[in-house]
Amino acid sequence: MRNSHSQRSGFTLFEVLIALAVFMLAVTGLAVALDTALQAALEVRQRSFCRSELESRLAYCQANPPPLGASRILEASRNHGVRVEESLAPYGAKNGKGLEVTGLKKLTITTKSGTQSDRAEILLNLP
Amino acid sequence: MGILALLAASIYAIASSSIGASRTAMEQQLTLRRLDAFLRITRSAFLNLPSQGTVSLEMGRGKGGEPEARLILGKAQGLFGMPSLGGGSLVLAAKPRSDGTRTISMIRVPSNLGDNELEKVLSSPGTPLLPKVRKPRWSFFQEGVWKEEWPKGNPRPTLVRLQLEIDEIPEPVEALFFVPPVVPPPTATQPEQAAPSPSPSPRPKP
Repeated sequence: MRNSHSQRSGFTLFEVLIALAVFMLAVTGLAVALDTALQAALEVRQRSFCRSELESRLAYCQANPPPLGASRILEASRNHGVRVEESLAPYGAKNGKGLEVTGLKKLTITTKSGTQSDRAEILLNLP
Repeated sequence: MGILALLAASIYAIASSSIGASRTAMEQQLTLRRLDAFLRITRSAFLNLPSQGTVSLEMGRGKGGEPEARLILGKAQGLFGMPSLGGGSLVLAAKPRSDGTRTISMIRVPSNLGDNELEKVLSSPGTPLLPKVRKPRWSFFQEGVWKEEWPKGNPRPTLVRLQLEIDEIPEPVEALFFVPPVVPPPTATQPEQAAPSPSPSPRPKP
């Protein structure tokens, strides 16, 4: 009986190192997966903000378009973290009889939030 | 034994923080999706407002006596997927919740209601569209000026702005809605020279 108590079984240093290495690998994988998921969630949020701001600016520009031939810029720091650039340019188009259609302008709006950006182009009739 | 305890504790901490972060991200995505859907149908409602439709804002009292802002789309037909209201109105009301936030709800108000019935309908919970909203504020753009009040009888504004805060979204939300102007129907100055309608309805012969 005394001999069995004195001979203690345990882990060797090599076994402990192997276990630690496996543990570190698992933790690293978990951290990478978590980081990827959070990054994806952030991108979804930025994309959603870009789209929402784009639709709001489209609405605003229909009531108050930017000056012709110039850009109107809203910096992200003053616009809920979304940078907006709007421009209005003349647009040449002909009708079915080959006559020039006057008053058509092309409105371009670009929004940018973080790494995501969105863009829309529509024609406005502004005689 | 100590090393084993440390390892177990670190695994528990990492796993619980991962679950917490994933849960927060999923809740935020759900909120964003809900907000996106709400803004889309509200934008569509303003764009499809009939020519006789009106826009007004009034402050009412909820069931608990708390003030609630009510955006009224009067004489609305075909909005929010409702084919017919019989000349009634649709109301977007910011209903107070027990946790201090508000829910933007849609209430369908039939026409020709008495005062008591109208108050009863307006104080009903309605259809919840966007829950857990803080500080919702409507404003109206007309002739270059944003106004906070838009009583009944005012002409249609050019733009409607909604500002609100949501707990899961760090930045305040601001959305603009374009209200198409009412274009008067073309006046026929020379009825005898008016072009025939493109698809005349065939009259039954006697």
